[in-house]
This record gives sequence, structure tokens and C-alpha cells, in this order.
Amino acid sequence: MRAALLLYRAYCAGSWGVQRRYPAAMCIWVLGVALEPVLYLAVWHTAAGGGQLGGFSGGDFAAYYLLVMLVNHVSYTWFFMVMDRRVREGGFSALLLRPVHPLHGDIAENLTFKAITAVAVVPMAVLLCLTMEVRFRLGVLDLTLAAPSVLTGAVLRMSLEWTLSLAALWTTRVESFGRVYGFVSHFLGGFAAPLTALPAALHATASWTPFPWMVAFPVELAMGRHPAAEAVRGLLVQAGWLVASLVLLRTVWRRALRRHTAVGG
Amino acid sequence: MVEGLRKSFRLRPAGGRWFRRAADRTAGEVTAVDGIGFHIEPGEVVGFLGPNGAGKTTTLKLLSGLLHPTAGEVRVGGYRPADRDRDFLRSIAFVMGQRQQLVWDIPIKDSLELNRIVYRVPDGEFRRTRQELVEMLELGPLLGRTARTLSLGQRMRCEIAASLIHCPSLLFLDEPTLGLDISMQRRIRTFVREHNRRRGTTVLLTSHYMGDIAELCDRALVIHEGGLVYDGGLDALRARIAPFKRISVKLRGGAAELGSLGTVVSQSSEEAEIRVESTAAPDAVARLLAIDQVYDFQVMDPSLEDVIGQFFTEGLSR
Repeated sequence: MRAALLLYRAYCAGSWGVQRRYPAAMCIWVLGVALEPVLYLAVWHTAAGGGQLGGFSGGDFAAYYLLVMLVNHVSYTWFFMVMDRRVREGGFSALLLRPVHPLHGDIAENLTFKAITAVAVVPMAVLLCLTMEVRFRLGVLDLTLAAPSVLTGAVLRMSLEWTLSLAALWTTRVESFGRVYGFVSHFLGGFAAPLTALPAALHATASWTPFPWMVAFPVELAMGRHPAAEAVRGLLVQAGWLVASLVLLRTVWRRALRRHTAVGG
Repeated sequence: MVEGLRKSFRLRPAGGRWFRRAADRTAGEVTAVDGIGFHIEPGEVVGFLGPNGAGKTTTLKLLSGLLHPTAGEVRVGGYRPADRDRDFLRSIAFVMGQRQQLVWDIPIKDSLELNRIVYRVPDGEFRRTRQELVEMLELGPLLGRTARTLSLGQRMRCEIAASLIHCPSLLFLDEPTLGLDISMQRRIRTFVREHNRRRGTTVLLTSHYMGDIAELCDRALVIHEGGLVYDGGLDALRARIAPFKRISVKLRGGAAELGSLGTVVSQSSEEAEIRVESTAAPDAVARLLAIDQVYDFQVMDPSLEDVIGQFFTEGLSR
């Protein structure tokens, strides 16, 4: 355990050393990621007008997208982009030569970036809270259930997206694949619209995919939109998806190692 | 230990619709390494020779576990490299290119520190090794600089240091002097030789610069079209591929008839170079002494460059 902590500390320190050299790029990136929910909020808030849409009032939409901004900040990744470049340019070989799974370095880099950019995201969330009519009903039980759900959703998303990014070992078009994945996950994951605002068939379809369990479900838990029994059932389904994604990661990783052709290095 | 090692890559035809290419199972295979076998003792420095695409780097990648063999058996220090056992990975280092071990945007000393943690090098050992590497590779002024600000040669020295900070028992060097000037090539060679002497590190080296092989290696493996065509000493390689001597002759001026001694490679009024069969060299020397215009000469073995050049153009049939 101590060795793992030392490793993560070293990786995070290295990543901090790299990222602090690119403050402008970091600002642009974080603005793009954080403002996306704000755009959706503006659209849905206007659409709702003074009434309700999919069970959401204007204030509910504000609360929903405020929480989406924060939960998404915890869980989003850029693994497709990184893996595409490292496989094409030979950096993947260097990582394979190390006695540490490459996933750890990527997670540490992700956490470091999130920690740094939280400095911008949290004030943006506060500003949104002050300027919009946000309707929160933050109960202790809701937050207690939401906390592990946010964590599980983040691990599920990282695990699944890292696994899918390994497609870079099969195709040179993994960034395009990542864009398609991003579109589908936005649509079915509750980014583009709260799931209850989707047509019933789409809502039902989404519930059979892992996407709603990454961001939408933790957000809905925090908003107290699920009764206790349903919340517990949701947490179990979320845990099931997490286990499935970890099994998939292990399987794909083994196949990827056999597939690796070590081009460019 | 390597036995019957083979590595093939599937080729897919370029162009056409992607689904047609994906469905095309009839595409051919290219065999990069074709059933080679050899054994290397700890502490040896072995050079891999061969033209581009011969299979040298692929062999090193198979030995380091980066590639899975299609067939055959590989054991390195008792491990199967493809299993990626952590102890195995801690026992090797692979220098290929100049951005493998160094983090581009952080100071070199921080990259070394990161490797200390990754390879779990004890503090005391890390300090000793770092000190030794800094001295041998003259890295002192570079430690505080980021990799991106270093020249090619400086970066390669730092890359080697970062690769060796965990004291691997086996070092793979793939074209370590590529693109470096003569003086930097010498420094790298001197370092590798000295490191091998001090630490007993086994070194497997590929290089297009024959100077690297000639200076560092006692043994060469010549790979051609994926097959191992020679495994032995460099002198024996010269004798086998190029059993001739070069005689450099100094002339007083005027035409001298040298054609009867052997093949005249070049001739001017002041000097000439002749190539003669090794067995005919004593007779040629005796006859040179009898030629008035000749006032000096030197008998030399062919350079390794000549030997390899001849091999790749004429084959190993001689």
C-alpha cells in the first residue's frame, strides 16, 4: 500500500511538473469541459419556461446541470486522445517496459489535472449557483448515497474508457471511435438531457447501457430523485457495471499485449 | 536462451473500403524473425548486425517482452519475457530513441527520481548509481534542465542514465548513437564499455555504425531476412565473409604494375590500394619488395564496414 501511495505521489508530482507549464491550454480545456453543461442548462431552462419538462422545472434543470458539471469534472477522461498518440508514436512501448501497469500513470495524470482545474470549476459552479434559480433538496441520506456513487461512476468511466482506448492497438482511427463513443455516451448518459426528459424508448435503452451510471445516476441521487430502495438497487447495478468493466479491462489488456506490434519504438 | 524464435506480422492491403480490408483474410504475412536461436552468457556484449528490415530490432523487442513470439521459445534470465513478470522488467532496460524514459517537460533529475519510485530502487543504491552515472556521462549541468531543452546528444546521455538508474542486469541498445556526432558516439561507446566492465551488465546492441559494434562487441549475430546467418567473433566474421587483406602502398612516382598482385582498388602516382586473398598475401608482399617504385606499404584486415557491405551485396556464400 505504501509503495502504491509513493508511486501515485511520484506520478502526480511528475504530472504537476508537466501541466503547470501549459496553463493556457489547461484553461481552454477546462472551460470547454465545464461550460458544456451550462450550454445544455441554458437550452433546457428556456425550454421548460415556467413549467415542467420530463419532471424537471427550470430550477431542477439548474441544479441538475450544476451537479453534472461537478460530477463530470470528477470522472471525465481524455484516454482516447492519449492512447492514440502514444501507440502511433511508440510511447506505448516505453510504458510496457516499466514494471507498473500503464493505467496507474494515466489515472495519476487525470487526478492531478482534476485537482488543478478544480480551482476553476468550483468557482464556476458557485457562480452558477448564485446567478441561477437553483432548486436543491440536498438531504444527508441523498448525499451519503451519492458520494460512493460518484466515486463508483468515476472508476467505471475511467476503466471503460481506458479499455476502449486500447482499440488504438487495432485501428489507427481510435480518436474517431472516441468521438462516436462521446456522442453516444452524452446522449444516453444524461448529458444532453436528463434521462427522464428523453423519449421513453430511449430512456429504457439507456438504462441497459453503462452510460447513465457514470454521471446521471449519481447526480439524480444527490438531487434526491430516487426513493431509498430504488437508490440501493441502482447502486448495486452500478457496482455490477464496475465489476464488468474491470473484467473487460483485464481481458482486453491481455489481448492488446498480444496484438501490440511496437511500431515506432 | 532463444530457440526457433519466429515472429510474423499480418499484412492487410492498403486502400479500398475499410470493411473490405477488415474482411480480407487472404492478406499475406511477413515474417520478421524466422526461427532463430542463440544463447548469450551473462556479461557478454553482443552486436546484432543486419540491413534495415533484417529483424534486429524485432528480435530485441521479442527478448524484452514488447512483442509476443509467433513460435519458438525465449528465456531471459529464467523468465519468459512475454509474461511481463515485474522482476523481469526490473532486470532489463531498453534504450530505443530518445523519449522513452525521460518526461519531456520536467527536469532530468525529476525523471530520475520518478524512475527510482517506479523501479523501487532503495535510497542509498539510487544515490550511488545516480552519482556514478552523472560522473560517467557528465550530466551534472543537465540535471536541472528539462528534456525538451537538451540537444540530441545530451538527451541520449540522459536517456541512458534514466534507463540504467535501476541497475538492470541486461541492457538492450537499439541504435544508441544514431544521429550523433563522432565525439558523442565515442562518449556513448566508452560509457557502455565501462558500464559493462564495472557492473557486468549484459549488453545487446544493434547499430548501423560499425564503429559501435567493432569497439564494443566481441561477438556478433548477423541477421538477414529474419534468419540468423552468423553467430561468432568479429575476427572470424571477417575471415569468413571477406578472406582478403588490404595492402596500402606508397609509391615514389611513375607507373607501377600492381595488377598481377591482386585486385587494384585504387591507384595514383603516389599511392595505391590492392586487395589480395589472405593466403596470397605473403607472396604479394615479397613481390612488392622487388618493385622499385614502392617505398612503403601496410597490410591491413578489411574494415568491418567493408565486410558487412560485402556480405549484404554478395551474400555469405563465400
